[in-house]
Amino acid sequence: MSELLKSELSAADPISVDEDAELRGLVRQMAMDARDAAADRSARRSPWWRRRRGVGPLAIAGAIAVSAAAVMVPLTMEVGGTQVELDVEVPIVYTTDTGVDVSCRYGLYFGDPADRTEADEQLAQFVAGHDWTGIGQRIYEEAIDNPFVPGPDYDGQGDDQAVLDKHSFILAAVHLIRDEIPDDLWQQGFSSGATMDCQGLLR
Amino acid sequence: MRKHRVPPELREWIEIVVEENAADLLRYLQRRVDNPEEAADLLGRVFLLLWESGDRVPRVDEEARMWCFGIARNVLREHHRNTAKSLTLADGLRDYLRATAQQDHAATSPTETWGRAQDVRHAVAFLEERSRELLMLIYWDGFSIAEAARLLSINESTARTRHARALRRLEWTLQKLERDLAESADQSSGRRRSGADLAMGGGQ
Repeated sequence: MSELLKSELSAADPISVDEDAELRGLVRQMAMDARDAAADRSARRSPWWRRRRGVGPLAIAGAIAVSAAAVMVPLTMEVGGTQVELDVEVPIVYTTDTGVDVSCRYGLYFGDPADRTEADEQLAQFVAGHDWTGIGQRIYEEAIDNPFVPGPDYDGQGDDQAVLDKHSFILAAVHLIRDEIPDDLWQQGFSSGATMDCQGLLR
Repeated sequence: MRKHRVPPELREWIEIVVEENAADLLRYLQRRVDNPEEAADLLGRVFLLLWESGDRVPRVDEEARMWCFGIARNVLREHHRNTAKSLTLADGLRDYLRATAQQDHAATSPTETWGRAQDVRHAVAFLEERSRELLMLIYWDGFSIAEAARLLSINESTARTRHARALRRLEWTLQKLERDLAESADQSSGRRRSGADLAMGGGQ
């Protein structure tokens, strides 16, 4: 291949590599402002997996299983090969910016009712009785505002945007649903699991 | 997506990573947006994500650089899908980029506009997206083929094949542009000649 062409191609870079001191200063200032802003955001909404005191054998994010079940089909979850009864089915209803109405469910399970700690039972009762109205739209907006950003070590299914959107949706759902639950209900050693039939449609 | 707070011992490292890559990240973003000032908000978003996911930034220079550009690529992809959201922290840089873009535009001479570099950029724009992005990463952003392959989530041999094909395509497109320009010049000259002949004929 022509070396001249490669040389011409390099020379055709529309953005000058020369940068002046003012630009350098502005970029550096923005980097520092971003550091402070990121710290503020982190302080305002510290990650729930750090706030809680213990992680049960079924971590919510890890236990999510997405199925293509229609809404009329019962949302199910299996633990150790046995189907369990969910403590709550959170209705996820939202409308995308493109006008698509989406309705799906997010189920939570806090362990075998016959073998629960009092803390787990309190947690289960809270989620079952909680008003989840509006959570779907907030999850959608959270997923849009904070898209999943794969790092270089990301081993997901290729570069498919739908897969990335689903990751964004799952992360947003886990965080916002967790944020609805008072901190004092999260106890050491609780068991929890989650499932959903949402496809994570964002657009 | 909720983020981890950056551990104090990592702050210095992240500051170094940001410092070393900030200018290249800005140029990477500028090359891929319609309006230069959009790059300010995108860079701000990249910085925020870098800081928010700071405890996952690789501890090796080159890996950290790839990490930064991986984030930038995703931010850019998100930008192309949604309307950009302005960040307050990007105000200063946005104003600067807007102002300098206007100065650059005013300073561009006709010779430069129709120069060889412009033809090459025009030809690059004609390439299909995957080929164009690969060439931009290699020849403008300064990545090796292997690094570009990583950023594009393709294997290196595919990148090499695509690279060679993209260069051939670029060469062909440039030749076609030259032919079109030459034909256009001939036609223009022919029209002038006919007009002159007609005027001379009309005078006889």
